[in-house]
Amino acid sequence: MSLFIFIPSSYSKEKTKDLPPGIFGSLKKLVDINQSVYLKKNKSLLRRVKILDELKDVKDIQIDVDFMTSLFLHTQSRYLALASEDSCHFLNLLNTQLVYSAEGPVQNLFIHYQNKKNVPFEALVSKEAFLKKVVPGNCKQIGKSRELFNKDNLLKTLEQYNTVKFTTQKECTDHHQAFIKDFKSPYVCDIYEKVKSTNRLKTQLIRTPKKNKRLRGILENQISYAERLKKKITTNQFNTIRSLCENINYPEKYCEEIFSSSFWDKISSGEKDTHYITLKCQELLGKTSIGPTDYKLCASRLNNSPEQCAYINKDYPALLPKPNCNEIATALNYSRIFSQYNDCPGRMGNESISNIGRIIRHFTKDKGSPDGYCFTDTSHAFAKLNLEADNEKSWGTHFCYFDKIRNTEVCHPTVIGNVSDSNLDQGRVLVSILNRTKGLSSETKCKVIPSIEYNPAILKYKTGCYITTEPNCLASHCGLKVYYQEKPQDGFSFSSQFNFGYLTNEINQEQYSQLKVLERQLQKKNKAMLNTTFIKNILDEHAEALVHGIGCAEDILPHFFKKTTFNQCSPLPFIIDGYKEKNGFFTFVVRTSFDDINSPRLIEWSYIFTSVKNYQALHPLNTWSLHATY
Amino acid sequence: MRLINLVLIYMASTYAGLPELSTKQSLNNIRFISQDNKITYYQMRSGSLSLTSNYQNKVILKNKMNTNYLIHSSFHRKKMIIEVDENFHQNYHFLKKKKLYQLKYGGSEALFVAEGSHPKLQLNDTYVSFYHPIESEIHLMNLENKEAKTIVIPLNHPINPFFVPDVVMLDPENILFTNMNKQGMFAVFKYNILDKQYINLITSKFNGLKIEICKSQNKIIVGQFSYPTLNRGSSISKIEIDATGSLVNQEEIYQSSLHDPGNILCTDSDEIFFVKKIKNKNYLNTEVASINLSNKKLSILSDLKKVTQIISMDGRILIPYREKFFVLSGSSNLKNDSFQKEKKP
Repeated sequence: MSLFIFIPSSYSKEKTKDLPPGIFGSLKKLVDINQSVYLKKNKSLLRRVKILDELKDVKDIQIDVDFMTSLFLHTQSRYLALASEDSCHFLNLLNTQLVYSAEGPVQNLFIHYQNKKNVPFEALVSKEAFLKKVVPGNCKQIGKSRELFNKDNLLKTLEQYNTVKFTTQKECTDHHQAFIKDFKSPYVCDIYEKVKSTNRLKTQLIRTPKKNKRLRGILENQISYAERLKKKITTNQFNTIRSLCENINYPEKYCEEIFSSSFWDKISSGEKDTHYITLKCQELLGKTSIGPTDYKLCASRLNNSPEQCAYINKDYPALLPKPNCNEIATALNYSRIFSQYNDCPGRMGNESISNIGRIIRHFTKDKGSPDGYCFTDTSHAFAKLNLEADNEKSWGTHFCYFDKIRNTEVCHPTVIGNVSDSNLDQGRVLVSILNRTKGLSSETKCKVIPSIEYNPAILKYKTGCYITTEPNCLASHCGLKVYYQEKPQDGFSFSSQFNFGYLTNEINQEQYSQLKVLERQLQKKNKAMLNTTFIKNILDEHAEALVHGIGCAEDILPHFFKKTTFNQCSPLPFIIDGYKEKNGFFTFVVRTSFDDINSPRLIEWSYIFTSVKNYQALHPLNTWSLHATY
Repeated sequence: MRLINLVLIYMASTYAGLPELSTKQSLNNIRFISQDNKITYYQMRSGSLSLTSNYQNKVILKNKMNTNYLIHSSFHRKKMIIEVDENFHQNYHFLKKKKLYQLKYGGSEALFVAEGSHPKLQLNDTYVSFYHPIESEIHLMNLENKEAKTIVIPLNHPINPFFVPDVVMLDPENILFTNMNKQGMFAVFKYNILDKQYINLITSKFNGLKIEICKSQNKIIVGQFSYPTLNRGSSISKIEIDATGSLVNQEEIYQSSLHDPGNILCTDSDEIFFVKKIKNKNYLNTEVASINLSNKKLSILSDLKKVTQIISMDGRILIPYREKFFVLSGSSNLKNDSFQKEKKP
């Protein structure tokens, strides 16, 4: 809101020492002059108080210019921004207690109007009467917005301010802009100011002499009202509204507050889902079942001891050390990938399956089933999509047997582990084979368990069907044995071999690359991401977009991997799902296919670019691998 | 048979005077160039690895299309190890084993050695060490005696599934290697193959510190470098190997409060190289640094800002940087394209 006010011509008629100092004069002087003019006018108009409803054939009602000036000078500038869109927005703001004149909160207005003979008049009218006369004809939204904050609708209206769900700077800025234009915003900020003023009013009440019953009465009413409001608004909602109302003029500051506030605190306040820290908290607190109080305690520990995140959850093998808790929290503030599960990249045995599986689960919102191994659900997502795309060559895990009737070897694709309700479930596939080869009942259920658990001495294992997997089992490769009623079974073979292209490695094989399979089966688009601007724009414009590519592990994670020879490169697929920009310098939220899904890293663009460029140099078609899928 | 003219041209670089390595053939296909530029190994898209020397060309190995080869050598220049990955672009699996072959330095007869990953020539090129990641085993094979049994050193399964140990053979019976425990702390162990005993020589004080080891002349260099976001600082020590093969006189030769990437490179000279973090106003850059083992003098050798790795190719020290290779030190400039005349006895 500009501090420089063009003084209207009414001043030029006054021949007093209250002449304005000029267009670039002192603000205090302007305020003083305006106050003087206001009080004089108020005194004069008090003799001409009008009840607006009683005036007939009134037209062209306008607010007095000096009065408007007084509003601009005495109302907080950030709230004036809520009035800047058009006159309806101004009237909407006037409808709250946020607008002040030289006398304090506006109760009455100075107006000008004309009668039916076009004779101009000045008058002092109540705010309510003015709004009742002017608003219905011109600004119907005001009435509707006001209704949302009545006693019956208030709680439901406030729910809108529970959580902020955006993950990019642009989403945040757009949200901030939308708030300024929203007709509800002045009422929301009015509530904020009232709740905020509770302590100040209480102090004022203490200082007000008891004999001043009228003022004390007013203060007590205000305090009582503010406290009733405070009970209806949650901490979460208050913080969101506070941030918006305090930073109306500062969108950058508002967004910075959002992105720099602790992600762990957002979880403990209910603003973010708990799945990001459930596994961490189970280990830190030594508990399986975690309640709201536990999450608060856990969040506090993660905030205060950031190193705790580095070597946590070793039962889900991934690259160690993970980032510290502060880096993870910052990265999660900008992250968008669907990650309501825990996988174990150290047991996938194929980094492409890890990466593509995560992308598929992001777009299908697949939480997986609790029955399988930590790698089962991600490998299942990959296998299912590729088999549906008639890309059987990409999935290399099969049970095979010799079909005597057809006189040929028959192979059925499967995934390692239990997957309920899937034709790829290892037990289900094996039963179908044993049914064909040995007449085993098709109702039999074969369960997949680690070999270390299988103990035929225990009654439970004496009956039924079990597939036992060796200790070093990977999603792509696993030794296994099958037992039915304690007897080892044979007559079939299990093979696992993976050779497929993440990118197109040969010109006439493009349709079989994973990029094309994602495009076809998930009905998404792919676009090459050549620089930071491309990535920023795609992430800003598409809320679900993910950027992914392949780089050399030694370049993207140089602290972890060392080159020892010329043109050495260990291809490492990765996903980018957010960015942080400061002064044109980009850092990206990255999950390499070695990393835990809920422990993203912040990696500078320079390392990402170098790694992708170096892999491109070795690729047979010199393909730039960094693409967005959206 | 194609004749390939190979000329090394040292070009003036835009990066603070470091010459850039460039060849007539695409750098992406090259896998090894000898220091005197007489020997080049290169791969083709068809899946072959070939040797070119004195304008003669020979195919060493032939595999399926787009096979990727790596060549490992040492400054002893007696043997080389070829690492073959037939499914480099079809199977991204960091822990997979690749076929390993040995050949004489500059030779063309490749002999299959074993399957494994991260091979390294040891003990004057008489042994090769390699790793079986899934089983967590270090293997050491005698390259000169096919009958000799492979030495297998089992490690406890590391908590980081992508961990690869550094291995240095002190002699045919004593092997140094790095490992990490369940708390993430690194250690250097000495293993004796006769009594199968592990001796813990050095343990990092904190987790979040990786240890690298390499051998330079008669010294073992031990670097401790912090992982990013867990800054414990960095340090490098040298330990001498005395006449009996024992490790004596450990001395710290470098220390920093910053988390250097490390990636130490030992050479056959009195200098070692590593990647160091440098503070530049509000930014942290990474450059190549060297330390003289005698006088501990530290020198910063590059000005590229985001260096991540440093390698040696037959004694030529190279900085791989954004698809290019900058030459830090190496043989003299050879621009001569003519046939090399044989010297008469």
